[in-house]
Amino acid sequence: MSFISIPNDKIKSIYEKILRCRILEESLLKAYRDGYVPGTLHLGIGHEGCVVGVIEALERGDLVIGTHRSHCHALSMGMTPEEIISEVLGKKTGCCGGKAGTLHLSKPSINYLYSSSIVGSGIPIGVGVAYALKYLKRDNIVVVFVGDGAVNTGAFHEGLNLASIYDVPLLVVIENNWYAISVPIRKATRIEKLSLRANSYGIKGVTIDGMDPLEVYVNVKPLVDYVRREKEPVLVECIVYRFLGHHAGDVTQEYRSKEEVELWRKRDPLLLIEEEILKRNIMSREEMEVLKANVRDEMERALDYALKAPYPEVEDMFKNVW
Amino acid sequence: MIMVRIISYAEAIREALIEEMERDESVILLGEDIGVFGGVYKVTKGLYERFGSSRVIDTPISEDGFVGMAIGMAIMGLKPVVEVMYPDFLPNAANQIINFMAKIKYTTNDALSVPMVIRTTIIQGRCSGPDHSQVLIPIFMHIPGLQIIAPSNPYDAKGLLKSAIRSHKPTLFFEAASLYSTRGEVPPTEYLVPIGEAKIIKSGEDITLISFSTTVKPTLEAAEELEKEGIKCEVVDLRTLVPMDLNTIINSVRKTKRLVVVESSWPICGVGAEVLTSCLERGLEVKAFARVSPPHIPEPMSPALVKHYLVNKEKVISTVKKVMKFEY
Repeated sequence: MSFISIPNDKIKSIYEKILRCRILEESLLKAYRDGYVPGTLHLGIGHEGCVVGVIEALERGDLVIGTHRSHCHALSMGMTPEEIISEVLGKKTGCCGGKAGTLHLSKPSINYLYSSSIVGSGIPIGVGVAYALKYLKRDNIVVVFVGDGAVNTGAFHEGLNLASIYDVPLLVVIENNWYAISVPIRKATRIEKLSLRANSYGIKGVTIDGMDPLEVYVNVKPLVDYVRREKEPVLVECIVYRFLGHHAGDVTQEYRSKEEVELWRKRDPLLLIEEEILKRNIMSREEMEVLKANVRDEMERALDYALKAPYPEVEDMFKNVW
Repeated sequence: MIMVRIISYAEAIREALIEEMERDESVILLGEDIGVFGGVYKVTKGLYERFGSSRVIDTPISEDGFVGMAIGMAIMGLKPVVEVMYPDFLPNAANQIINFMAKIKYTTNDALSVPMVIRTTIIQGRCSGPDHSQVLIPIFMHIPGLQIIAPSNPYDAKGLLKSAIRSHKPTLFFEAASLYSTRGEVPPTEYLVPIGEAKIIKSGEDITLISFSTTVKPTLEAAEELEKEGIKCEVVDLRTLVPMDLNTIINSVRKTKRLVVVESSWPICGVGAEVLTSCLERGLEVKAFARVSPPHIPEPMSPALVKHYLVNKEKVISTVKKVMKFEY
């Protein structure tokens, strides 16, 4: 598929999803700054092009495992903003009843399986999920998202090796945002393209511009088809950039310059897709503003709902341990 | 005519696996060398030929990887049974066991569960040195969400493993490698042994001796010798470490008021510490208590040293005699 041939409906759908991710996370940031978020909060603003581009390339029944930075993944798979915000606030109405928080979003009924907040560990689990899909003769694949920090873990190596020897339908997507908290990827590995790691496992590895959602979509779609058809794992690296700190409280960000952040902001996935939409006359600027206002309303209502929602009962604490 | 059938501990475990695999196609085995080779202890011998490579999966040396893989299979509804050759290799997979296997049900509020069993061993005194001999059971007892089983005989091994596979709970199943070739009565017809029930294997009024897995035999032998000297020991085989059958323990200690725990793991924060604390917390009168365990040092390799390191009948006897004289 070429860039040009992406249908307008698809572009619109990608745009709406990115917009919802962005505004959801802006609402979460506001809630954090207002003191409503009890724990930590890792925002993926800047990653949406990669996340939505990949998820839009999936078919019905395909599964996703995310990371500690996965509000966008969950939302794009169909979790409601009410469920996400409630979970972040530790409310009973959260996707996990408030017992898991931002680090462990999960809703298997919409195929958003789990968020692995231990960096890299989602890959071996994804191998097992993919093995089960193949064993159960389901024509689906599983996508495991990880960050660049994951590529130097043992789990990354063991998981990809297992995936390659058992021929399972697993797509591993590295959201390379250049920093594992503060340590730049260039200090963490000598390899320039993280997708080169695929060579060690005899599998396909591809590096993609993850800031441009349509670039992600056109490149990942054939890889998703390949994984499904060949029952063979593939490693994709999406080059992205995290516009905010590692977590919402990381404001000083001594490890990078403001100029660097500003430079990347020029390649904001939201801007890039808006430009494309205007260029193709899919929507007018006014229509986009109306859509944004609607999404803002949606997220405001969701935040309001979550703020008013009840906390879990003390007896809930003891449920579902065994 | 009642048919008595005597088979080995290893055969009993193999039968459990075969029966559960025949019964349920979602039961899948994975681990190092478990395929054509039949496992280093030969427990899975013949299963590869019988069930094929998609259900008896030889893995590379990747405990973190294949335990994680089993978790992924389990959350999809399969029932993986993983063989981890030495318990000393569990730490390689500890991240997956502690952070995922034990917690996914809780964090997802029951949307996902992890019906899987890790079969591993208790393997001491083989002159293999400190990292091929550790009984790490207490480390995992500390983690909420894990079921922990350690059978002492072929009958329990078969019945408990079958129950574990059907329990739909994340389970660590510790097999006594020194007992693999020991034989015992196992009925030819199907049966289950309930998880979480200890067994009184010898009744007595003077003192309660708690044992599990490899410590059951020396404890029972000690009790028989002590009986000749007039000390009547009640011997309990815990069988399941988590959930621990406190009722059986408490009823026994209430009667005897003296308690010795014989454990293959180290004493600090170990099984004995847990058993005594549980008794005291419930207001039980315990006149005297002691642990028999290896000292809190790594297991040495030399045969000249390891015999002093391990728990044995003589250590149980001398400890019981001391405890019988002792009073707070």
